[in-house]
Order: sequence, then C-alpha cells, then structure tokens
Amino acid sequence: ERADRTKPLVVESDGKKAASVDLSKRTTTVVGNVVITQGTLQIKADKVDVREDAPGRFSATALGSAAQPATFRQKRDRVDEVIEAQALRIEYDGGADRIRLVGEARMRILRAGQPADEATAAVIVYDQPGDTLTFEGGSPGSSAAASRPRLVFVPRAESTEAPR
Amino acid sequence: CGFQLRQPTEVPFERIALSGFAPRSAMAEALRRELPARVRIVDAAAQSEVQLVADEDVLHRTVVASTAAGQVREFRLRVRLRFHFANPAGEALGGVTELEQMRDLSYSETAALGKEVEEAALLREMRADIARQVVRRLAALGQTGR
Amino acid sequence: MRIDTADTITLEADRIETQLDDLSVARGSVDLRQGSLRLTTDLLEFSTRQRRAWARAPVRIEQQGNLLEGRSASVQIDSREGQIDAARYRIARTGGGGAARQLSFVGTERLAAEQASYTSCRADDPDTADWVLKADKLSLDFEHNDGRAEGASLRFLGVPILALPVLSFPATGERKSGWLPPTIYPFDSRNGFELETPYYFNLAPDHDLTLTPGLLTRRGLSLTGEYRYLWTQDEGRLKAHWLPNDRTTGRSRGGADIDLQGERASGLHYQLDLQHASDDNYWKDFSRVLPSLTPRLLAQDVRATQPLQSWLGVPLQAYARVLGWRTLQVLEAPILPPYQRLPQLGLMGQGETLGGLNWSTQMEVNHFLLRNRASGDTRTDGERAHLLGALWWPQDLAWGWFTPRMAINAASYRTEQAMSDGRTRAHRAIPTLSLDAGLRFERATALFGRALQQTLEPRLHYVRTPWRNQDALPNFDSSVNDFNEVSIYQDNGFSGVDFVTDVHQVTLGAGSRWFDPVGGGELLRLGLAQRYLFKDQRITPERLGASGLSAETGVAASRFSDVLLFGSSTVVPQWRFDVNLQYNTDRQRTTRSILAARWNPGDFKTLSATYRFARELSEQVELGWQWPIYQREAPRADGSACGGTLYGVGRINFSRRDARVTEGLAGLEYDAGCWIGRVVAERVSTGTSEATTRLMVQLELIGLSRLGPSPLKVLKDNIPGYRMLRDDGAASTTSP
Repeated sequence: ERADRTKPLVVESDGKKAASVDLSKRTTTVVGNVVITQGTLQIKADKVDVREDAPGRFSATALGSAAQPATFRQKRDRVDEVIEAQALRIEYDGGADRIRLVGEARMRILRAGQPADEATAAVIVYDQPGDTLTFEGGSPGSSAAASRPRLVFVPRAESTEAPR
Repeated sequence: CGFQLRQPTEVPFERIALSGFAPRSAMAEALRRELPARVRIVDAAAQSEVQLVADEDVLHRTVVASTAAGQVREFRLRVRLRFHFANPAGEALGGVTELEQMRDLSYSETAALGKEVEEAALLREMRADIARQVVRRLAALGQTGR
Repeated sequence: MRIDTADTITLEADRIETQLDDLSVARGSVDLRQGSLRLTTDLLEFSTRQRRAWARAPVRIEQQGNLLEGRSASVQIDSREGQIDAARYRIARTGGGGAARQLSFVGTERLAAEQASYTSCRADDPDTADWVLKADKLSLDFEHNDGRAEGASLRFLGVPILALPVLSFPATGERKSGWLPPTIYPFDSRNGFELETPYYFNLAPDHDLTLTPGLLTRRGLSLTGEYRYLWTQDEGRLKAHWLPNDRTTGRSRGGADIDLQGERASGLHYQLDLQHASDDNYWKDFSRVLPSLTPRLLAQDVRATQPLQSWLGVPLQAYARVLGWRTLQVLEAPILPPYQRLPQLGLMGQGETLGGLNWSTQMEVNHFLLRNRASGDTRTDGERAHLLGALWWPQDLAWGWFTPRMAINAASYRTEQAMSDGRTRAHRAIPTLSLDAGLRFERATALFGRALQQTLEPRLHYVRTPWRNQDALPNFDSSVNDFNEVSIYQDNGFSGVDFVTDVHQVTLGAGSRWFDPVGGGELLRLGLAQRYLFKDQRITPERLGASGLSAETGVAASRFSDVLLFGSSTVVPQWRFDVNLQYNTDRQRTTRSILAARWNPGDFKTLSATYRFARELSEQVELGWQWPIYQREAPRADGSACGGTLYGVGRINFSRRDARVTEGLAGLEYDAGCWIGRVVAERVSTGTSEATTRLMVQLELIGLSRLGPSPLKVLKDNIPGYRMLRDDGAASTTSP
C-alpha cells in the first residue's frame, strides 16, 4: 500500500550472528533469517544490506539462495489483494519506491486469499507509484527457456462473462 | 462324400427389433416372413433381446441391354443388404455383413404389365434368399453367445 | 459451441510490461494460449479486464487445425471472436484456404472475409493455385456447412470461367436462396452448346423451388422448374421442362415428371408417378429431364392402398390404380403399346389358419384400354374380373421341406370387339395342383485352400394344371417368364392373370453353394435344373403374343424342357464370374445365355466383359472399364493419395443383331488432389442409323462444389464396379 512509506522500517534477524555496520557506506548488513517489515511490506532473506540514502529513506538488498530464495510480500491498495514474490536477490529502492526481483523471479497475486494471476521471469520490476510490473528475460548467455517471462491470467469472477 | 442332412438350428431369441429400415421397406417385409413364427418382432429396441440394424438396404435397377432405337431389352436387378446385429442398447455384436443378389430380367415395352408382375416375383425370391441367410446368421449368433 | 472460458490464458514473451488490473504489453516472440487457441506475434497488447488481445505485428493464429496469418489482429479470447488484416487462412475441415484483405471469425465455426480468395489447392500463393474463387464478400458457416460468395469470380488454371453476383456452395443444411453453380454441356450433337444456371429459392424449411433458365445454341432458350415439398405425411417433387420455341423444329416442346406420395393415419398410402413428353423425339433430345429407365415408354401411374380390418379378423388390403402409358414412337422401330388400366380395383389378403394352412386371395376388376393404337393394331379393349385363390401347407424341417399347394385362376371377360370366336363375353376357371419338396445337405469343405461350408439342395417341383380353352381370350397383362432358376420352380409359365400353361410335369434340380462360414460371404453358387413333361403341353410360351395365343402348331413338343445351368463365383480373388445358360436339348443349341466376368484388382481399377444372348431377341456384348492411365508424381506429402492421377473410364455396348454400338460411354477422369476433372463422351443410338452423341465436361472443386452436369450418375449406373473417386464406400443410390 502507498501508506507503507510512512511506516517505520524494522529489520530483525534470528540473532545467531551479529549485525555489522559500515559507517563509511552507511550500510548495515544483517544475516540469518532476516525479516524487513514496513507497514504491509515484508521481505525475508538469508542476508540483507540496508542503506539509508537520505534521512528517513532506506534501500535494501536481500539475498537468498536457490534452495531458500528471498521472498517479498505486500498488500495492494485494492481491496483484499496481496502480492507475493520471490527471487534469488530482491533490491528495494525506498526512494523511487521500486522493487527489483532478480534471478528466477516468481510473482503471484492472491485475491481474497486464493492464488490468482502468476508470473515467472528472469527479472521482475515492481514500480509501486505507477502500479506497473515489468518482466524481462535473462541475459542472452543464461538459459533463455527457464527465464523467459511467462504470465498466467486466471479468469476473474466478474470478468468471466465476455462482454456481450 | 461327407454330406449330412442339415441339423435344425434354433433362433435363440424371442423378441427382435428391425431398425434402420426405411418405412415400408420390402426387405424388412421379407425378413418378417422368413423369421420363425416363434420370434416376435418388436418396434422399440428397448423391448428387444437383439437388434438387426440395416446399414444399407438398396435396390438397383439398371438397363443393361437396349436396342438401337432405345427399346429396353434387359434389366439388371441388384438387391443389397448391409447389416449388423446389436444388443438392445445399440452396441454392435460382430461386424457388418453384406449380402447381395443379382439377377437379369428380359424386358419388352409391349409386355410391360406382365414384366412388372414377373419382376415383383423375382425380387420377392431374391429378398427371401437374403432373408434366409440373415436368419442362419441370427441362429449362429445365438450359438456364439450374445 | 462450448468455449472453455474457465481455461487460463498464458502469455510468454521476451519482455512484458503490465499495468496491474489492466493492459499488458508483450514484446519479442510473444506466445499467447488458451485452450485450443494459440496466437504468436512480436508485439501484443492484452487487456485483463476485457480479456482481449491486440497483435500489432505480423501474427499467426491456430485453432483446432485452422490457421490464420495476417499483418495484425484482435481477438476476444473468451468468445473467440476476432478480426485479422491482410490475412492468409487455411481451414482444416475442408482443406481449403486463401487470402483476404480483412477477415473476421468466430471460433472455428464461422468466417467472413472481404476481398477474399478461396481454394482447396495447396499453393503458397492462392493466386497461383489450380483453381481459386475470388469474392468481394465471402462467408463460410461450418456449423451448417454453407458457403456464400458475393461478387464471385472463379478462375481455373488461370482462365476465368465463372462470374456471379451471388454464389452459394455447397448449399446443405440451412439452405439459402441464391445462384447454384451452373451446368455446362460443351457439345451435344442435337442441342449444340448448352448452359444452365439454376437459381434456388429457399421458400420455407419444408418446401423449395429451383428455376433453371437454359440456353441451347441449336434450339434456343429453355426453362426448367423443380418444386419440392416435404410435409409430415406427404412428400413430392414436381418438375417441368419447357422450351418455348425450338429453332430446329419450330414448335414449343416440354416434358414433366411428377413424383408424389403420402400416407394417412388410417394406413392409406398413395403414390403418383407421372411423366409426360410433348413429342415423340423428346427422348432423343432431352434424355436428362425424364428419369424413366424405359426412355420411350413413360408411365402415368396413380395408385392407393388401404388396409382393411375384415370381419374374420384377417387383414385384407384394398387397392385402386390408374395406369396410363405415353409411348414415344420411332418410325423404323415402333412399340406396340401395352394396355392401360383405367382403372384397376382390387382386394387381396393372406393369412394362416390353424394347423399351418396358408391361404391367399386376390379379387380384382380391370378396365383395359389401348391409347393411340397404330392402324394395324387389332387388339380389343375390354373389362376383366378375376379371382386368384391359393391354399398351401408349408412343412419346413431344417433338413428338408414339403409344400403341397392348390390354386385357382378364375376370370370373366367382356370385350368391346368380338373375340376370334365371335363372342364378346367369356369366362374360364383354371385349377392348379403343385408340390414343392427338397432336401438340404451340408458339409465343411475347402476350395483353393480356403475352409468353406458347402450346401447341396436337391429339389423337386411337380405341377398339374388341366388344359382349359384360352385360344380366343385377349392378352391384357400376360407375358412369358424368363427361364431362370426362379421361374423354373413356378407353377405357371406366364406372368400376369390371362393365361395359364396347361402342364403335367416335374422339375428336378439341384443347387449348391460354397460360403465362408465366418464372414458369411457366398463364394460360389452352381445350379442345374430340367423339366420332364408327362403329357404334351398345348399352351406353350411360343404361342403367346401381344394379342393372345397363336394357333397350335400341332408339332409334338419335346418331353424334356431346356436345361438350365446357372452359377456365380467370387472364389478367385479379385475376379467374379457369372454364368446363366439355357440349353435346348432337342435342337442342341442355347436359347438364352449370359456370360460375365469382372476383374477388380483394386480401388478404381476394374475391367468387365459380359456376353448376353437371347435367341431372336437380342445379342449384346458389353465391355466396361475404369483404370488409372497416368500418375503425375508420387502421392503428395499432404496425404492426398492420388494427386495427379488420370483415369480412363468407359463402357461400350455392342448389339450384334443391329451390328451397331447401341450405347457407348468413354471418359477421362483426372484427380489433381484439390479438383477432379471429368470429360465423358456418351453415344446413345436412337435409330438404326441415327445416334445422339454428347460431351459432358465436369469440374469438381473439392471443398467448393460440383460445377457442370454430373456424369457420375451416368457412370455409376452404367459401368459395373465403377467406384467414385473421393468416396470410400461404393456410393449406392436407392432407385425405385
């Protein structure tokens, strides 16, 4: 939701390892089941770097592994719709309010708790202000088939009647 | 030389339905005459024990000899019945059999009335022959099980 | 048509930008699928709310085998309705396809195109296909298998052969009014070039009208009308042909053919078959119009039958009939017209009493009348009332049968002119006693190494009919039976009521059949029969003429009848032989014989030869063939097995008595995969020195319709074993 920006950004981890802070780059690195929440926005990953670009504006890079990809979850302004996504690396740009999911990215929209439209791609970019998504294939080197953007639209209740 | 008298083969069905025949089909009439009296012909397939389904019941009359001045001298009569047996639900029992009889009949326009009667007698005999072969097959069907 | 809207839509591409809840834009080898629909392009917009896709780049749409390619397209996914521009299309169902400036479709059921071309030939560019139909507007409805082209023009091998404002093809199912493809006879020795363009009026679902204006270069304009109706209990077809002014004869000419029948709940069935021709030469010039098998004898037959529930509870049937004849005379070969029945009224019944005694009876009254009789024709008109009765007691046990039979043939006559003995009234009653008995033997045997079942049925037929004087009686409806394996076991040597042969004879015969016990097909049938007469027969077949019995010759006829040998065999694979021989033992010569052989090695390959001899009646040799002459190239990859095969087809009927070809038919058939061309030349002798030759050209565009007259009917009727190209089973027609 748009209101998430005004909420405080909370970063937690399982505490097994200490967080390290690099003052010169103004970044904090947290490791071990890290969870970042800001309002309805929630990102989980193994390792997260959080930067404060400007007072009150943060950006983060969450790294997951093939076995345990980083996940992203946020409620949308529309009633009762939630976006869930996962990828090897999730870059959250607080300033531009844009999320980039890179590497075996998958995204799903849940309507009233039921899984609806789905998408897979090499890179998925979610621009919140514009409410737009961009799906891109892998770079020519990578295996094109696996990462070619693929969207699946499930018929919506009200849209199943074709316009007469 | 190996010949024995033919043994009576019973038609083991009481109720048979003739389906696929055109209304007033002469072939269906011939089958009614040849089926043993014990076998009753029912209209609805549901009430029957076995169905005789006609795939093709056709009479061909073609001119095979005529004079130089367009007078017909010979007709060829061909009666053909393609049929298969089916259970009351309509599933086929065995494949489609084709029986055909072909006879030539001399003709002259002057004797049109008499030739009409002769043709009818010839066709009745040809259809009776086909009907007898169908009844033999019906009896054989009984032996080999429904 | 159920569209599976429940199906999900999948969209793949190199890059996709989606405005959530609305438009997605996909770029780079885009592939959109839903159920059986698949759309591929390079630039696509897809609205999730409307579930509609717009292809902005060259697009390809596949649906259940149909293929559409175009510059751009838009498709409503759920209803499968869409448009496509600058399209090329191919329809799986008809194998046809072509190009169109703009094409809209609804699933795979309906398709409408503008500035379209349509052909069933496989060609990269439709314009270079063997045949192509171009139309301003083309609509194809596959649910009703109905096509309609407006502003249509048809090009065949580059030559424009047809242009019509509206062309409907193949008009099946829900019929639409419009022009039907025209028929062309490029050459007819009597009518010259003929062109007919039928127009079809779909008046209502249960009746329609086809009007066919025609042009005959040697005769002028003609009009043929055919009205058909199909009601719940009645159906009918009325056809009339009219030539207002025939330039060669200077008179108006015409023909009519009316076919009606129907029934009523009471069981009444009526049938009306009327044919009429305006003049005696009509059959030579317009043989296609009247479907009569006897071209020079046209029947005018109205009959009705009504079953009655009689007081004995035994079903009787009353019948009434009026039968007239229109005889077309030819000077050098006149026909002595048969009697007309004006009317025929009768009652008949058949039944079985207790104890298995069968009876049958027929009571009938006839008024016989001759129409436009020739000057020398001395036959008298008159009335006849007759009663036929029979009692028989069939005993059929599987191994044999035994059927004694008693019959009576009583008739009374009243003639307009005096009979040869001066009387105008006469009656006679002729009893007959007969016995039919036989045995049935069977055995398993083998022939040419095939296990077969063989039956052997010796049969005896004894007949005793006393002589009754019939010398002076007129011959209204009797004729001599052919001597074949059916008539040899019959009681009377004549068919009809007037005359009964006085016989005291016994016929001995035997028939044997070999058939395949599993498949049931009969492979070989042989039979032999001969009669022995206990006393001389006074009323012999030779004495019966059109006007009654000729004088007795007094010559002692032989006590042994002709020997009858008959057989037919399909024992030798691919071959079929038929033999029918009637041999006169006294004069040591055949009276009648039919020898036929047919070789049918494969589909569309058949050769047949038949020799027919009937002493003093006819002697004919008939050759028939259908054979592939030339094969252009190996069957094409697209599975049309006989792309480019030329077949020779034909039949020649030579009468040795007239030393002339009475009927000749030779043709070529070329199957080019997407079209079949037939050229058939037909020569029908219409006189000892006169004949009609006719050339028929037919072009059958597969997936469109037949263009031109159908020589098929001619070929199918006349060439034994002829198999239509493009038709798996032998197409058989039900003729009356």
